[in-house]
Amino acid sequence: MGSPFQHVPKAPTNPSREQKQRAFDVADLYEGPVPVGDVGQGPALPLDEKLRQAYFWIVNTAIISPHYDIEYNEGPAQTFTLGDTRSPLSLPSGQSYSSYVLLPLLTFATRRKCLFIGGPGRGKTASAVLMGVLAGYPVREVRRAMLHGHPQMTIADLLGNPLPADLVAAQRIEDIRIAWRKWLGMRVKIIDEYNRIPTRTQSALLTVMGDGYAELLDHIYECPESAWYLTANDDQGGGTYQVIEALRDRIDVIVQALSFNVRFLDEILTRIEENVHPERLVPQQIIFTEVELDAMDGAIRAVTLGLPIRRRIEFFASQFEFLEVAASQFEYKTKDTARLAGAEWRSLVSTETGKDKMQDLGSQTKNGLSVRNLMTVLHYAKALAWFRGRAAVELEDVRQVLPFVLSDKLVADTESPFFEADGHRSYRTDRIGWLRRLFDLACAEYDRLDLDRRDPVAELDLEFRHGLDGVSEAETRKRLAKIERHISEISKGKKLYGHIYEDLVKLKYLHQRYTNYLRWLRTR
Amino acid sequence: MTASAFQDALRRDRDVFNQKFAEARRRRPDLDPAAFSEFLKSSVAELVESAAKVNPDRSLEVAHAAYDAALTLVSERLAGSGGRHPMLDALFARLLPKLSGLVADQPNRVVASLSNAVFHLSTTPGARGGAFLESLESVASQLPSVTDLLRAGELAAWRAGLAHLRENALAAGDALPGEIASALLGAAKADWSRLRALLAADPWYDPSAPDAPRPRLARMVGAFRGFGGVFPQPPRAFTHERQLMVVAGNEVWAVFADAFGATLLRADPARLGVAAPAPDRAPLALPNLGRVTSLAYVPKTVALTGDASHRVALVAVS
Repeated sequence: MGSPFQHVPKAPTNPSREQKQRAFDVADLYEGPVPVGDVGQGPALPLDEKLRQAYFWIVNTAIISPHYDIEYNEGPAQTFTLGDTRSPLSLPSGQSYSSYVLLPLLTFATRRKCLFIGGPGRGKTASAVLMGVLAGYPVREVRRAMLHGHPQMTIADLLGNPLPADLVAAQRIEDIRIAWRKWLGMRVKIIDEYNRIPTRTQSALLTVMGDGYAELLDHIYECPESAWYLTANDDQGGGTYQVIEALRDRIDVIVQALSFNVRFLDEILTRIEENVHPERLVPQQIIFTEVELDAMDGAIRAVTLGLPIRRRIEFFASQFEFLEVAASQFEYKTKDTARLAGAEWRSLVSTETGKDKMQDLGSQTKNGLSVRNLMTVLHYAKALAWFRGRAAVELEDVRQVLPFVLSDKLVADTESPFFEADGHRSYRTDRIGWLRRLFDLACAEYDRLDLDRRDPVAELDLEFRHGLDGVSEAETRKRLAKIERHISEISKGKKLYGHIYEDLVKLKYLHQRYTNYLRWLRTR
Repeated sequence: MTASAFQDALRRDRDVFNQKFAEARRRRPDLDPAAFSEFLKSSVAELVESAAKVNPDRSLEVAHAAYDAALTLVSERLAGSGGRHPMLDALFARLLPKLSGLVADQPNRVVASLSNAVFHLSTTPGARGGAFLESLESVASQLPSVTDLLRAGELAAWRAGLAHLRENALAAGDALPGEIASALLGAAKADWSRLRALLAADPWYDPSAPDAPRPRLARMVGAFRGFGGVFPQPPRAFTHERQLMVVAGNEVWAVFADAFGATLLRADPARLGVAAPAPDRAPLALPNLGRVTSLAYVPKTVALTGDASHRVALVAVS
């Protein structure tokens, strides 16, 4: 044990059978009960190990969050059924994590944007401050640089002020120097109660969040790559101002501060009695330098995501955008078409008859997934796999991060028959559980269709990806015929579902590419 | 007496120091405030004061590093009143103040690394923590950087009994000024290149006793675990890739031995391909040779002679 608040869990924090016993290392002479924490010196741990140590230090010492809602199993888990609603309680057999700590840490590692939601006094701001300290900033600096949303917040409060002397003396606008706010240059940016910021100021914030620069009087301030933490008492616009949609859309993950478990009241008591502030005692070993943050980002991006996993993500994502009655032209049969037209949702979907809405996963949502949403899912899945010490993303990594990324992105149609079914009513309020269930259902359908082994569209796509160089006219015609034959087969089934629609759009694309190629061959 | 630089540091970050102690005590209720306070006064204060003389701007960092290390060592009952390893107290009282410039430069790295090294020496059977401190004290004023200090520490720890450091220590010696390397091995006037060649050629060469007789019983290592040793069963020796090994029960150990000491490091039986102990053979009874006067080895054969016999015992080995 080190000095307890300075104690960082020993590596390996996620031991596995594959890990070989370490050979003797002379550096062991200087490793022992006293932590050697000077950054950049001594034996360097792999960054994923360091991030795990940071995670375990936070959950063991700093944040009281006994909610292990990101579950991993190595072998069967013990499951119990409890209460009138027959709620399952599972005891995971693998190393599992608390989303309230893990997702902000993954945000830190990937330098994306995380929103903490939950009632007042649940430690949202304290958690965000910890992330700033992990980036190497003193607590005082993190607190001073934190923006506090309030109804009178101006763009000057947000970005900075022109120097008064220059305002008087300057002959040209470019001669006016700007005193930029310090937070703009920090690698961890914290905005407390962001839904209390006036709408006009939110727009200026959007530029900083979305594009990474601030603009004032024709002057530009380029912000460094940074992790963002925002807090709100709720994410339903319950603040003073409605949050503009574009700003909400820039938020990558949402984590909820779960209720305090009163069995841990003694911890609170100790903190009061002994005036303990964990953020002041973050051990040096888990502080990340700028170079390490860059390296961590690179390592996460390098984690592979194999075809079988990618196909399941594709299959899941393909379920939601399709809305057959939204248009007559095939490409426009989407929920976005209906939204842009301002169509009344309920009356529109009520015209869609004949499909089994319990089977149609698309009927559970009012929208589809954007490119940004999908990129975020992929990035966080890689980050989670990397955090667990894996070189490749596993299906469970996707399953675990997906609900936190999509929780306010995929809007549930709570009047869908799915939510009326036995055991499904709680999904109206439990978005994380609903999204996880949705992904499970998509995977089950994927398995039922045996798409891992028999996926004609994937085969056609693979064939096309080999390139058209040297493909003969006869071969091109053969492939065109194959595409047409497959579309014909699909058309024999009477029902159109989201994934079939996506396949058809892809087949049309392939058909067009071959058609163009054929035309080119003929003109040679 | 508590020195002023330390007092000033404690005053400046009083809340944080108090929180560290409070949290440590919460986790280790048996942490004795009086013992900790005494350790601060007797061992930490002087260190902070000496570092402050070299670089007053670093006294707060030094105080934090020394305080954290002290809190760990005292709460674990490794140092301080009733601590299991008095050499750790000696490290703070004797050696660290002599390294004040290096401590001020990188306080945590120096204090923690040397504390850990002394801990290893104190917990390794046969190792001599006192010799480690003496060696480093003798060259403390000549070490220009923390990196050189840690290199010197490898040589000093090797000489103090950590035989497994041999190869690394010789390499560390090459990176140090020759006179410092030689001094650390107890041969201050020796030319390092020559000394190094002798050490590399013969593990039983001891610069302080170059003419020690041979054969001689140099070391006895191991002992029964039930009596505080390491082996659960009588061990058997073998070699693996030119490394001397022993197997005892299901456990395998690498044996490192030379003129400075002998150490046993646990090895992974699966990795070495010795998952199970070798089958029991009939114990070999040797004729009464008296005290062994010579031993010679050629492949498959060991020859032994003794002062009580005119015969040579030839032992067939695999």
